[in-house]
Amino acid sequence: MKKILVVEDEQLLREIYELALTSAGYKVSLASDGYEAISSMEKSMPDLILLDLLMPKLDGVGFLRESDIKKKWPQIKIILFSNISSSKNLEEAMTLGATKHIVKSNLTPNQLLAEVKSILE
Amino acid sequence: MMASTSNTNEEIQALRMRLREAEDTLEAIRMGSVDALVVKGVQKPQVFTLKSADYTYRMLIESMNQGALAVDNSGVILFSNKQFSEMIGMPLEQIIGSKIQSFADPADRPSMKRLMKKNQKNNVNAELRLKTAYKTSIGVLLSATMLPLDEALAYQCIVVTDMTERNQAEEAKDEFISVASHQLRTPATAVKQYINMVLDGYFGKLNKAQTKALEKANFSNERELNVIDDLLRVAQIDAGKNISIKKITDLGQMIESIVNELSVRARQRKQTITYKLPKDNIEAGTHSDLFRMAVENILDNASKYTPEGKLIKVSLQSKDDYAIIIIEDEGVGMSEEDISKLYQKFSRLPNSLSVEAGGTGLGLYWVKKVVDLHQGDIEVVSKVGKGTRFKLVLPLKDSL
Repeated sequence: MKKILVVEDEQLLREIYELALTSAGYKVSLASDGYEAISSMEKSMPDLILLDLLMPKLDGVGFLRESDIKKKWPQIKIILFSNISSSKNLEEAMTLGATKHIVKSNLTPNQLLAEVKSILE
Repeated sequence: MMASTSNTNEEIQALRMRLREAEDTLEAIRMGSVDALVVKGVQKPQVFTLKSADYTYRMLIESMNQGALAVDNSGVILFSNKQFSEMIGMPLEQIIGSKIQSFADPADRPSMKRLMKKNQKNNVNAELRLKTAYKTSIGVLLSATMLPLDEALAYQCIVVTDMTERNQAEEAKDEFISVASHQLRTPATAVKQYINMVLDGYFGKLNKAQTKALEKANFSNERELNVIDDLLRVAQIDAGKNISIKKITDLGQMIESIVNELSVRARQRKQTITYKLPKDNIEAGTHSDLFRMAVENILDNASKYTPEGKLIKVSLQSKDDYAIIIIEDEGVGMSEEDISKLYQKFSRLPNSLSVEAGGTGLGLYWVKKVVDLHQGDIEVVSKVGKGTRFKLVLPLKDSL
């Protein structure tokens, strides 16, 4: 069973992604900021991370930098979730190891599942 | 005997010339044309200023809020007002006689070099950072004007404006846009996700009336998300923020990808989008994400304002130093009066498809801004009931 880590500060969104991904047969762990994501990875290494960019405490770019994920775990796929205002962060995040960028509000949960499936296959 | 007379004559000539030079200098001082004398020293030039010269102007310069400098053609500072000294926290004695280049932050040396280029006819502005005595640096705007004196004395006047407050205000504005974007979009995104999960049957089967009601809620929420996106995009481009670095873009490839993406939606409207590209690649320096979105926006509009079953054509060509993209539809078209309002903020043109299209009146305002950012041009020809033709012109060379 493939493991997915959802890093998202908005509880409502965390819940809905958890529900959609679990129903599709993935094992899901949740984190609400970059630090929680790092602790979660210490316990269980995911195959894919859904990473929000704008978060309190440690944001998406901070997480990629702190965890040094590109160097340490290049096999982990990372989907960045952003909104349109963060294009500078986005460019930096892509150079720090992100696989793909998705504008959160553009996709429905089913469309997101299709993206996740195509990346993990 | 002859040789000695000729030497004496030459000496007299030389002395006369020096006397004339000294008299000219004194005359210039008397007339108020000189306010400082530069005497070349062994280590660095020494500057002697004349107290009486241009007293009024000097007072004016000392009372300015900006820093004011006069530098010679190699960058040596001949004059500095108090404000510049306070700005960088160094005493005037340390500033005068030093080279202005030595104050630039290492990363900004190339900008400073450009500013100091000799023989510049026009005013030159550069925004860069200057090192201060407090081991920090400050953002400044330097405006240099070359004074048209003779070659040996050529020097520049430089006005130095401290941009710290403006930069802080811009950062605050940027922060506001970013936070507003997040705060406005997140709830609407959550609504979208939950509605779609219900519609996709995650919580059980829906009857027809329930599906219809949720589809309406979803449509309305999508409109809200579009409004938020448009508002933020406009706020960003107005603030000149988040503008990506220019990259070489293969315009043909970009058009192909946009058409493929929009064809799905066009098919739902029973429209056909065709495109015609030249054999050779056409490349231009673009802020690729912005320019792509601008073309997408025009093409999406073409589809929204074209009735079912009609054709939309996109073509790319190059002429002289320009790339030309043409987007032509068989849609509802616009009157002359409507065209004149096309690029105004919040201008929505009434036509048979405008309610269904559901725009915000910000799209083309934004597109025009993006085209301007690329030093390009946008032209539109339209006829009510016949269709519209948008022509985008983008410079090819030196567009990076």
